[in-house]
Amino acid sequence: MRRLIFPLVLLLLLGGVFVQTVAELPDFGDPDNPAHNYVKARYLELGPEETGSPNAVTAILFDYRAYDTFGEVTVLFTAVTAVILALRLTRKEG
Amino acid sequence: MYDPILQVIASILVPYIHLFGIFLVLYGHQSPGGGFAGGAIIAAGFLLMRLAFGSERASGVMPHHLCLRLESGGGLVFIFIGLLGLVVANRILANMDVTVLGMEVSALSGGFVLALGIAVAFKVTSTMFSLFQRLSGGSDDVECY
Repeated sequence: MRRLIFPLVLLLLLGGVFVQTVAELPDFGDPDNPAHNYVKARYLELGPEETGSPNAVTAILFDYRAYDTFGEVTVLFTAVTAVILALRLTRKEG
Repeated sequence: MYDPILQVIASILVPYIHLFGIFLVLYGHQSPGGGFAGGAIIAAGFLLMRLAFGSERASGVMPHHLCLRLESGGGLVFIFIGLLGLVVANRILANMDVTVLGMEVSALSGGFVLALGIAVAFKVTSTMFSLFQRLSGGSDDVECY
């Protein structure tokens, strides 16, 4: 029973912080949201000419935010490496 | 275990699934699609082949060492294009006007976008297939790389 007190207090504190954070989030679809700045208009208006890609999603993924896509590629590589490593280890032990 | 009905349907469907995936990759900058979606669909074709015909037949088409080569090759091509952008345009992963940039409807109109898409597609395909093979306890040619 005593062991439960500290995790319980910690959970309640963390939960309170998270609920407070969600309550502070801007309203959904509000035009004054921080996400609705000049970047979006630039991507949608100048994207096709600047990247040669009329598909806005691909223009952002592989041109404007290609560095983030590089991070995603790294994630895929790490996932495969981890799975191969883990499964090889279990096979050798068993 | 391997249903003949499933095998016949799979052998008819798999080429069209692969064709559709390749189309999505090559025209990802013109129409909905792109490297991630196209690569996932090509991998889905390989997965259907593996489910219908078993691990050994699928490994004959897409062996594990080839998977790993495509995997690291895709990543290396991505890095190479990024460094090329650094050399040419002083900005890492910069898009270069190697082809006709603009609204022209052609597979070759995106500059480096197309090359990056193909690299990512190879990577996603080999990642999904090798993850599935590993997790399903598939082929044992682990020593090949």
